[in-house]
Amino acid sequence: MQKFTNTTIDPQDLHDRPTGEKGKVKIVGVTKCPVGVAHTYLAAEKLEKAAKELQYEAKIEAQGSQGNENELTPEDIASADYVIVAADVAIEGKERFNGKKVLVLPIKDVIKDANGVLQSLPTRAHTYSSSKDVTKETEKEKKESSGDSAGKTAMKQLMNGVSYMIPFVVVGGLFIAISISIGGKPTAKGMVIPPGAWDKVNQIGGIGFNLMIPILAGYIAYAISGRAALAPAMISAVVANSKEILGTSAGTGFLGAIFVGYLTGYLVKWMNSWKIPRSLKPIMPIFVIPLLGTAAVSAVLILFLGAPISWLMTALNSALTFLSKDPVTAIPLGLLLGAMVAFDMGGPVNKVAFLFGTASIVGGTPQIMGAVACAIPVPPLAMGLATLIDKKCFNEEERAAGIPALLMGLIGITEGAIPYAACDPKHVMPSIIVGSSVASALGMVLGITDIVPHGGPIVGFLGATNSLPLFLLTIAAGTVISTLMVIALKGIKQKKEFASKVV
Amino acid sequence: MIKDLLKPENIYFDVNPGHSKKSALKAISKLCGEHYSTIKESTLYKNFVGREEIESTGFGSGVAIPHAKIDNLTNPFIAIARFSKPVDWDSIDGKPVKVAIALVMPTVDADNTHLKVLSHFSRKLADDEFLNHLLTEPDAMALYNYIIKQLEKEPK
Repeated sequence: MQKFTNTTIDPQDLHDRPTGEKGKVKIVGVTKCPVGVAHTYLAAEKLEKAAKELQYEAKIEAQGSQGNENELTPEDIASADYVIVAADVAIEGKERFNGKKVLVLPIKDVIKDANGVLQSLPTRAHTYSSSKDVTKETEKEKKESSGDSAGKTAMKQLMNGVSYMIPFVVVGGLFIAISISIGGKPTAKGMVIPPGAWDKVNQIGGIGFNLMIPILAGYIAYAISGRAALAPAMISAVVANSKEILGTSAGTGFLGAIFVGYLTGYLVKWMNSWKIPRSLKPIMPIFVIPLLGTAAVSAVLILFLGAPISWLMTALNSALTFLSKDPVTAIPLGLLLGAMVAFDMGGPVNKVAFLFGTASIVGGTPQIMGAVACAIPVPPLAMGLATLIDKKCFNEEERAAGIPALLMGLIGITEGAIPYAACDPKHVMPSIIVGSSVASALGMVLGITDIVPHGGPIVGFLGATNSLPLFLLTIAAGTVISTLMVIALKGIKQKKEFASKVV
Repeated sequence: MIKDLLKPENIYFDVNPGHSKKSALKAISKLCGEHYSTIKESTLYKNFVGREEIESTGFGSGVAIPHAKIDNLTNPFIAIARFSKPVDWDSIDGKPVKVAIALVMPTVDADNTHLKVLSHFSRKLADDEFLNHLLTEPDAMALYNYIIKQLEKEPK
């Protein structure tokens, strides 16, 4: 994952980097002049001198007529923050610098003002790719892609978080799924696992699920501004999921974690840009930034997020109550319940629907729980199915999480679809919301009841529903619609990308 | 060894550069050609000019390093010429040149020993104090001893 952090970390954060000795800015460079006798060495020396003055760490390879002096090792290049190529002719081994921030300039610029050149690196160096010539294209590139690349950067940061999160979802989800399917007993309180071995397995799975939230937030923030952002993002993400601290009846789920990740990442990035005395720099990433960052982000969550979430949950509950009063509005009620289940998969919106369903069992209208139970397995089943049908729409990690997602779907664990929604919310969220809505509405129409507050095919097989075939039919219908929709939407996206590349 | 490349008699003071870089290079070529029988003045001059055409060797602060690679040269050398008046060299800082350090070496240097000394010498030119001596040291022998000392102090 180092590759993500390398490309997104701002030069201002350099003191915060794990690479380089004593947190110094590290420069590597190559000098080469046409004859390779005088200027090559003079320029190399000037760069080394200027680096020393600026307290940078520097290693400069002189490609002269006596061969390459002070040759750069792959480790040197890997740990360097910037690369300077001071040459009037083509240098040897330029491809070594692929993906690094490189500044290419005539050798005389270095001889004239090496110090100035070094100081201009953060603004003038650009990520190098050997397929194109940096000197000519960087300026143009900068202008053309600034809008587009912001989106791409945000996507990379999100992907960083998701890829760290996936193993937690898989372990947590499968442990819970196995323990429920083998050790679970359907009761009025849901699928209850009696104390014993399966109960422990279930609890271990629960730990995996709980960790998924801070991991997602933490590694989004880490991709934005490095190590110092990890603690504040992870702690704040747990705060955002602690209903007691937040003062609501539910945490913010994975959507809240994504929000916390970005908020903390950019806050810490800004903190890293503060001008502070050199003596304080070492304690910034381990003390000052984590402390201030956690306090600030958590305060924002409690002060500004708690109330709106409570209000939203109350409003949704009123809407559900209103729709459930009249049988005429059964279909809209089903659509809304399904949409809510899929919307944040374990977040506050999902919770309201689920609790509304649970209340209906006691209230004597178990068809509402039935509708919820139809919607619950649709997102993970659809995503798992889609990874099997159309592999090219998903990345490697998503494909690997496909079978676990299917299993989680069968056991009624909606969270199995979270990695997919987090990776590509634009295309996945509409698909799973539509599919779940259809399943729920169909459940309403067919009058499916469920007397156990849990969802997915498992409750049907355990005899909690009034009609297993019809129950499975609704789930299948929602899953098929959702699967086809996500493949279609992702397909359009890929075609668009392809077209834009051709043009 | 630096002593093999730089001889006290290769340090020339009060060289009349004429009115241009070319005339200055001609003057240096003449001095070197007179001293070394192995090298023709015209070959040296042609090589110096050829290098200057790629890019001026005046690297600022009134110092230039004209250099030449000569086929089958057996005795690479360094010559230092201090001019009687500053001459325009089209330097990177625009300042006229007061001292020219000529580096003359073979196209092929089998064991690189001489090239290593030359590269070491080139690196010293990044040192302001070293440059200052080149520009101002009034006595040729003192300058020679200073350079030898500096280059032997930290051999590369």
